[in-house]
Amino acid sequence: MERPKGWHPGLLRWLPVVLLAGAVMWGVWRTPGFLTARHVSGVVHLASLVGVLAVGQSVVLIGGGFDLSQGATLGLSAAVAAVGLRDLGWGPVAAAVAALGCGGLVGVVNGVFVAYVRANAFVTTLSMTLIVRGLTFLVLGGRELGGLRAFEPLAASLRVGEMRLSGLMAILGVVAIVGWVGMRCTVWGQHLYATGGNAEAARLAGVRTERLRLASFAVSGLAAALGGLLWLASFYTANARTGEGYELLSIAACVVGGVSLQGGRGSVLGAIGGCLLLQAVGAMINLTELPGEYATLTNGLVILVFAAVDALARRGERR
Amino acid sequence: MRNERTGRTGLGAGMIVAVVAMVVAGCGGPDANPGAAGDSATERAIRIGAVLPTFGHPFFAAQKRGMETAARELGVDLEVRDGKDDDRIQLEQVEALLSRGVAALVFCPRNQDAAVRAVEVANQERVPVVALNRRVNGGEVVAYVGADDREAGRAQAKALLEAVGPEGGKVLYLLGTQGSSPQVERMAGFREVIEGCPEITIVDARFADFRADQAKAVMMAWVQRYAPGEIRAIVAQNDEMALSAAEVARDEGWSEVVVIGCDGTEGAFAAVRSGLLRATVLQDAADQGAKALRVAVDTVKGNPPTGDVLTPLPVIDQANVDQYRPSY
Repeated sequence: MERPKGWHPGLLRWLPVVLLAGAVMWGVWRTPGFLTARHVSGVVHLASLVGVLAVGQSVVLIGGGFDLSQGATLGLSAAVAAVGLRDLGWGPVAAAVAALGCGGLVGVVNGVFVAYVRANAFVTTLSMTLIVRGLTFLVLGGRELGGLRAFEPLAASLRVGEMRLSGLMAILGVVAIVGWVGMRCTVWGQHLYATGGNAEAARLAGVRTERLRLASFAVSGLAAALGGLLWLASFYTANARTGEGYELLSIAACVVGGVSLQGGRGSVLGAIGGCLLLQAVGAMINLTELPGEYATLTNGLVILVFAAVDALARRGERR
Repeated sequence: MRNERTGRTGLGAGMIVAVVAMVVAGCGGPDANPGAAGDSATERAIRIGAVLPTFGHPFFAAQKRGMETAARELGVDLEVRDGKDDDRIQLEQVEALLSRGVAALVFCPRNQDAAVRAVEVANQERVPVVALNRRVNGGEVVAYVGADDREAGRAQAKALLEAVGPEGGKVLYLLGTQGSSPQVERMAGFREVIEGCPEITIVDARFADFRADQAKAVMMAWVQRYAPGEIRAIVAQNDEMALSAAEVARDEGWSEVVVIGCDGTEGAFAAVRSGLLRATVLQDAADQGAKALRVAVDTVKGNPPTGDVLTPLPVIDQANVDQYRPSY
């Protein structure tokens, strides 16, 4: 079994990332009003939606895939739940099940094409994005459905002193634990690492790589669907654009969190860490006098620097 | 990256379709089309083409519905095309509709400058063009139908002045997608009015992409930076952002803050009723679409409009919310 090499490396290899994260954290600390319990918990609350997607994305990436359809899947799931609630008179449970079913199905279709047809993951999930966006528009009939508060309790928050503990944070916590245990402590997870690291070697060693890869896409689809429910819980509305661009946020979170786009390396918790870090940088820009015009640029720079530092740190590995 | 790729694929495929269509339909020259229409049982229906910026946004979906309803009432054939938020695709759709022999074109450009070429192409074919919702900076259109975004910005400013009164105060401003035409125009209109009012100061303006999630992130930083009661009003360039910001403000105990949106969505109407929003500016998309179609049909029948058709932009507040219906 080819477990990724260098999994227990020296701390040295992590040093650049640690320094960089430290620098960001220092900036956060120096930003007036950031390090208050209220604001930090607010950042975690906001990050939880992307965090859930990033968990799904990291599972796919570790398995050697790539999922560009998460944002669209999020939108479709939110739309299906919204139509169920508004037009069909469903209860929240039925709507949630339907939404998760849709997301899982999109993931399975992606998985079938990537794992069995052996279509390129990038192209498959890119075309799936268009298909799913088109479906979302049809499901909604071009409308925007607003005022849907059925899932509001999921985002309800409890104030503990200045801190705000919300349902979204709890859900992210549960997803993180399930994802981490699934990837680290089960045979399934270990086989997925092996598949992503070297599919051919894994297959020769008796790992059923196709099935695993399909399952990894299904997990990502489910995560996106859960994201759709969390979206409804936070914003009470769904339209044909809901979730646009979230696939890139989740991929960025994974990259920043040290999940390899080549497969086989990284961890679910890393992805969540990356997501929190990016959210913190965004919040930092909003909190300072730095004009909003620089926000997009800064985000891009942060991701690029992280990717570069990670690549430099890994360079020694191959020698 | 993603959009650009899809755009290219779509462009390539569309180009082939357009070329084939031109070869097939264009062989007999432009005169072939009226003749063909005449053959089919005494020119049964006028065919109108329409190109919208995107079907993906509910505003344009409502415009489409308005046009389709009007087309049924007038008994004309209507073909509406999706510009997929891409200037080049819009041009291609216009060319495809022209080669299909439409008698007039309703055109809602994605970008006022990039749309010039499409209008010129239609001008060469002598097909009248009605500009819907956004003006075109060139070519010849028979009329402009809609209410421009600059006017919407002015309307927001007036609603703000009315809400805060002579003592004025500090205002936070939520902007849409950086550089998009509604962002630029609504801001220009808003600033134009506010500049003459020293009692109002815009203390911060942030881009939030016209999106609820980004508005929420910005607003969470704002509640950290400013004390409750310090900010007199929040103005957002659309309702989606306004509603999201208003929720955060309410949760954080900014009970006195005035929130003003724009567009007049269903959600905003409900929020105006409940008091969460002070006001919104209604842009009735379906009505605009229907009016544009009527102008196009009238032009084809030989009664071109005498000037632009400006649709009203009423400010919706608690006093008049029940007299209007939401845009989408």
